[in-house]
This record gives sequence, structure tokens and C-alpha cells, in this order.
Amino acid sequence: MKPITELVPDFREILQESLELIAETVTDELKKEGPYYTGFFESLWVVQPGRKAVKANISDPSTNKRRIARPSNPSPTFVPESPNLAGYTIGNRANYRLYAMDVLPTPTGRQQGNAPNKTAPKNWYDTYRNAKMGRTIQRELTNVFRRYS
Amino acid sequence: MSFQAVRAVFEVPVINALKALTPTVPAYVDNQAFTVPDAGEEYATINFQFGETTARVLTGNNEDLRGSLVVECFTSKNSGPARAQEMITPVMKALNDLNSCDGYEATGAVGWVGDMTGPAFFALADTPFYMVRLSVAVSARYT
Repeated sequence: MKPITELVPDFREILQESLELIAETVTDELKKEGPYYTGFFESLWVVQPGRKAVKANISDPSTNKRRIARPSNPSPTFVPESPNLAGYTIGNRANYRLYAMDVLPTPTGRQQGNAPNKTAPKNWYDTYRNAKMGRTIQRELTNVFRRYS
Repeated sequence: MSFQAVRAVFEVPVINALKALTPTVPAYVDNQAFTVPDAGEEYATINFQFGETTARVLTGNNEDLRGSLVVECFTSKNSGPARAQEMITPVMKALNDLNSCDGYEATGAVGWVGDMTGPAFFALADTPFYMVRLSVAVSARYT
């Protein structure tokens, strides 16, 4: 059995690993839950260390927006180091993200989740954040702590 | 379980809160057809989505209803945010009051609200409306 003086470093290590895993899993789930038409929006989810706003400043360069099939696995998510348990901020860099997340109504594109060719259900982002993300965080945290017990 | 009764737990207080305003604000729920009114008229939309509805335990799956409620109120653009705030404040109060309920409704459903995101205000680009948006995490039980 380890002495109690080693408990705090161990605990910090577990929390850090948990944060990284949670950030990666939540981002992967956002990619799976969200719209996928050309794959451009899905590719712009990013994980940043700390509490910094993710800038929405990338526009879609393609002119011929042909729909492609959603791959079985989301694109890889890069999770940078976040020292001192500073946590992570997850966001999408597309300049049209509020339309893609059904926050703002629009007569074109997803039409706030009402378009017949939509690739994600109406208000998918709110539903994920309000009714699914909590359990994902709980599950991943439990998994990491179980590994160390 | 009755999804309809659970849905009503959250939708009815919002509809009533908007109906009590002067002038009354019509609210439209999911799968209800309506024509977007002309500029200067007001309306609201209510969208309810279920998220995870069961929780796995050793002996099987327990009912654990979780959902997301999004209320959007539309008022005239270029007239300040006051009316939008008047619209959303009683909605937030009505939803918060759900947490102080002391039993199951006659329908057998009871609900609670969690984190509220918003109200967020937007002057819309494509329409002559100013929008206030509230997103609420909800949970419910059914006897």
C-alpha cells in the first residue's frame, strides 16, 4: 500500500487523464451526433486547453457541396496537454456553426433542423449537451478511476 | 412510461406563461404547422427532445428520462431587447417552479429542470424578428 503522501500526486494524475479522455470522448460524440454533409463541419471540432473561447473564423471553401456518406468512425481528435488541471474548451471553428447547431434560424441549409435532407436531428447540439453529455462525463470518469483502484 | 405526459409537464407551463402576457404570445410545439407571422407580430416555438431515457444497472435498464427543452420567442427587430426579456422571464420562472412541485400530476408524470443556457438574444439576419432563446436540461419520472 502506498503512503498517504503519494495520494495527491496520484489523484492529480488520474484527474488529468480523466479530463483528456472526457475531452476526446465528448468531441467524438459531438462529431457523431452533429451534421455531416461534406465532412467539413465535422473536421472543425477542436479541443483547446484552458477556458479560451474557440474562434468561429473558418468558412467552407468548397463551391460544389456534394453530400458524402458519413464514415463509421469520426475524424481523429487531437487533445493537447493542459497542465495544472486547467481543463479544456471544446468548440467548432466553422463560421456558420450557430446555423449548423440549430441555434439560429435560416431559410437555407439545415433550416434549423427542418430541412428534409438534414443529417442530424433538430436541436441535436442542445439535446446532446442537455441530455447526454452528463452521462458520458460520468462514465469516462468512473472508467479511469476503476483502472487505478 | 408516457412520453406525451412527460412532454406536457414542460410544455404546458411555457404555453401558459406566454398566454398570460399582454399581448398574448402564441406558442407552437413540435409537429404543429404554423405560418410565420408578419413583421411586428410575436410568436414562440417550443422544441422538446428526449436524450437518454434509461440507465443501465446490474439487473437491467432503469427508466431515467432526460431531455432538452428549447424555447424561442420572436418579437420585432430594431425595437430594443425589453419585450424579448418580458417574454422569456415568465417562461424561466414557470420552468423553475417545476422544481418546487410536491408530487405527481394527475397524468402520472413529474419533471425537474436542470441547467438553463441563456437567455441568448439575436437580431436575425434573414427575418424581421429579434429572437430570445432558452435551452434547458430536463429530467422526468412517470408512475
